[in-house]
Amino acid sequence: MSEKCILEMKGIEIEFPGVKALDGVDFSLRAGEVHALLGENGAGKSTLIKCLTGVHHKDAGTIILDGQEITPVSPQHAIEMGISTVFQEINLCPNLTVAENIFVGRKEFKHRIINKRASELMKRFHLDIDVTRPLSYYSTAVQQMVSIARAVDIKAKILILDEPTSSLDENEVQLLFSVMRDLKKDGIGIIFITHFLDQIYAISDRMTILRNGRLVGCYDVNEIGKLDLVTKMIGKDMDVIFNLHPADLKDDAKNMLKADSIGAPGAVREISLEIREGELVGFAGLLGSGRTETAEMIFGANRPTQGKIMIKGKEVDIRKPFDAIMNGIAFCPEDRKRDGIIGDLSIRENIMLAVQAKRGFMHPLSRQEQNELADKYINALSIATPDAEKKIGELSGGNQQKVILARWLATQPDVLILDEPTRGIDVGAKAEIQRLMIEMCKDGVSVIFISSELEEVIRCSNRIIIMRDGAKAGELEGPFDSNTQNRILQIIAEGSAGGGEEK
Amino acid sequence: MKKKRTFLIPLLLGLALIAVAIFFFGKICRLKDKVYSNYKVSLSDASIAEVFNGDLDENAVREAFNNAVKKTDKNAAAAAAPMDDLAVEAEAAAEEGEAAAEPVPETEPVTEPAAPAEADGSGKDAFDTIFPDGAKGVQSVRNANRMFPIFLGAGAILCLIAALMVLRAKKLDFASIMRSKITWAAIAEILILIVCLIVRPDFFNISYQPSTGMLYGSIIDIINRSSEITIIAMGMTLVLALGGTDLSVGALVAVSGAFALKLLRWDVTIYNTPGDYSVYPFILVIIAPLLTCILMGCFNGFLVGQLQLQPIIATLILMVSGRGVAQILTNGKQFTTLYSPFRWIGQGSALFLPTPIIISVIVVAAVMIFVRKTAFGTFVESVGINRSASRLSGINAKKVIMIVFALTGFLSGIAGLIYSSRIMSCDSNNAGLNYETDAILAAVIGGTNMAGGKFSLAGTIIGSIIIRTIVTFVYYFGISAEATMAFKALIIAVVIVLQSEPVRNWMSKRTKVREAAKGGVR
Repeated sequence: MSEKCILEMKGIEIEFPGVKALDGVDFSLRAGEVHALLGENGAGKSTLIKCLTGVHHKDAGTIILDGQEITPVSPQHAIEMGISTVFQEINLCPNLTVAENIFVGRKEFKHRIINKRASELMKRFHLDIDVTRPLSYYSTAVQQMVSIARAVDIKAKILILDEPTSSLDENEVQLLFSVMRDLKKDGIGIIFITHFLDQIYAISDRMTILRNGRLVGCYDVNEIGKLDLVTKMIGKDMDVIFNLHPADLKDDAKNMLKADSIGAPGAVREISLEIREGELVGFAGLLGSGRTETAEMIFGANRPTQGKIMIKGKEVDIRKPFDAIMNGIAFCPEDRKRDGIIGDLSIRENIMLAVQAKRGFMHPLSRQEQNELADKYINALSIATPDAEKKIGELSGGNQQKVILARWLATQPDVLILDEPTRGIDVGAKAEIQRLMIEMCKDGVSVIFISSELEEVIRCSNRIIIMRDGAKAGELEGPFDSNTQNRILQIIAEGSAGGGEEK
Repeated sequence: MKKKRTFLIPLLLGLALIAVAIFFFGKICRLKDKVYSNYKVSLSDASIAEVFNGDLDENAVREAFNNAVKKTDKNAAAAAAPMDDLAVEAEAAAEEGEAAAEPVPETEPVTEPAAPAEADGSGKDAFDTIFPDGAKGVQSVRNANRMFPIFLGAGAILCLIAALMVLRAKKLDFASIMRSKITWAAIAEILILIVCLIVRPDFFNISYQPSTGMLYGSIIDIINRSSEITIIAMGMTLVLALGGTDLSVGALVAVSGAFALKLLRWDVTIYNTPGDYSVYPFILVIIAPLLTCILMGCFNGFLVGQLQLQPIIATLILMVSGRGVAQILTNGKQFTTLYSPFRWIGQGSALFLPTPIIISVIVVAAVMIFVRKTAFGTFVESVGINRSASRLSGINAKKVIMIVFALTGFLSGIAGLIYSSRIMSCDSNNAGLNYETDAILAAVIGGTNMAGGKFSLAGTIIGSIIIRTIVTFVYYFGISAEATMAFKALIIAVVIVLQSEPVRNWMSKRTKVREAAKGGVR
């Protein structure tokens, strides 16, 4: 790693009407390093990146690239200067081929040539794929790689990765990391934004922490520990998070939900599970192992072809989400943007939606009832918004997730299914959502908690069900110790044959 | 939350003043009615002004009044139907290819020449007959004539103040108002009306015709003739808010009209002359076409909701085949009727206004209440913005889609009845032609996004009226028939450009800058 800085930003200030988004922020990037940019949602990470890529224009400060002062005026301009960005949402055309996606908008357009070059490029990324297939044919991870390949291939000096790992599973993350290490060797400076603290320690060399638009500091990765880092990010002591414990189960807790060998071809094979009142059951397993599919079957989003579901000992027929809601089941879906928020509606309307659906549209909640409902949950979940009439699409990810949670809490469910509720949101919000889950359990709500982060599943759950290849591979009863994580990984790796031991 | 209701004071006061104005206006109307029932002549507004506005003494008024009755008598036909309306009606009729089919009610020939005022048998002249209590009656008409505009103006100003107070209470700043599409639609409408007023200073005149018991005037004509589109556009707005389009509305208009006519003259070979009769009960003539249209709307809803076809494709089916159904219903013939209750739907009057206006007001109010006073509107928006998320929130998207398409079908049916009643015949090929594009345009001008999402029914009404105003405007300018469509397109293009995102943002930025500058001075 050379000591030469390829990018230096000094005293950057950006002011939006009424808010100082960035206040005197310094940032430097050396050639061949991975520099993590950290901060809660709204800390100014995105604004800094947008300033660098020419989306926002700075009010003060200097940007020096390769010893020359630059003023990016548009994203196109930034790309021409060698600053490439890969955004969280994949900005590619799913209907074009991989090769076309990499070369779209550039001078080369002969299919023979671009196919060959794209194929070579993807090999550099350890991906041996058919570049003439449409992009939509491949998984999110591959699509992510393609967008990185596209960004790198434009002679980039600086590569900005904005939460590239949020939709990848562990193996795919490792693949991405190996690509990032290759790029480091080529002398490309990488700015890496993520909410996963482990990944920062795994790949980054240095980190810059922002809070409320101000610089907290720039550190070497080995310099500070995780707890220290979180404390610096959110500015308060985070012992609270790491001291979360699952709620104690009452001995006489009744059986709340029982699924008896439910399954659907191609998704899940014969899953049976039981949840008691006030219990928090974690679902562990890789992406695509059937966690989400099971949850969707219980909620009626997909109909199981076999098996039956009983609630409070009574068999129920759940054909569609509405039936599940009427039976006291609530479901926060995995893809918040696609299945959760109604972007153009206000927070108030988003919160009241499920309650209203339960009542039917001919029995509307009065405006005052809606306001009371919205205000109640905005306070209870401390949703950061000036008022309930703000569009939900304009909120940060964590706050959107809280609104969706509020929508379901408002229906006063007996069973709450949360599919990846903490994905793509910052540490503070994550901790709050975990705390809320545990509090709900104390109130007697049964919670099913699905997450790719084993750590938080172990921290919050009373019981963990491990999924593998569309079937239940094992079940572990709490309380858990430091060994649990290894045992879960073992079960995931070996399948039920080797690790199905139940405690 | 406390609600401030201070705006109610000027609003109620303004409405009271307008009510008084209407009371005065009614007096003049009654006078006209009385003259008409006695002498079968319509007094023109000009002659009333001449007789009652001056400072004439009783005898002079008597003489002037008698002269006015006599004078009007001679020009009865001309006075009965002011040129404005005749011209517009005729041109409008020509436009829709219905000139022959449309009897113009206000030109009904006065069958018996009015008895000369003097030769009234008992020696009383017109003045004595109309004003049995002499000067007192004259004074009251005189007052009414003088007070009417004052009260109307004051009432309108108070209502305007109330509206401004509501805007202030909602804390809408000027910049965000300028960002709204509805504002621009309203500005465009006002601009067109101002141009009309410059070209024809009597544009806003409204007069009462005792022969039909209706008010006449360009404004009323615009609203009257826009009512079919307004009614259909109510449904179309909801369809667009769902992210769809309904191309079949024009065809449903034809089906509804054809079916109604079919029921009026069940077998044309037997009932082979049009007349004031109906083969089936009138209630069936109304209900059956509407039910048919609801069914056809449900068919659309089924294709879009259950089979998840693209709305534009799904409704294309009925757009094409609907007219075929109408042709089958009428055996490919065009036939007419003279049944008077049916005539009332499109040409009659209620509360001094043409019936279509009353029908459209009722329909608009009903749809608005249905959509905004229940949670249906929110559900429609929610499904339109994110169907998958709405479904997972427990909303039955298929049901919402079905209701919206059925409602649109029903509204097209109503429009079809109005249309065929206007021409008193069925026309499977031309009835409701291009209504789908006009209705979509009305909704889009009103600020509804074609990609689905937030919608505004109030904006749609403005949009529909704009479209009709442009047509009227074109006739007033005397633009040749060939250029009409191009001219209409030109104005609509200007309106749409004014409403486009960049222009609105630019304007709102400008106002912000100006406001900031003003703030700096202060």
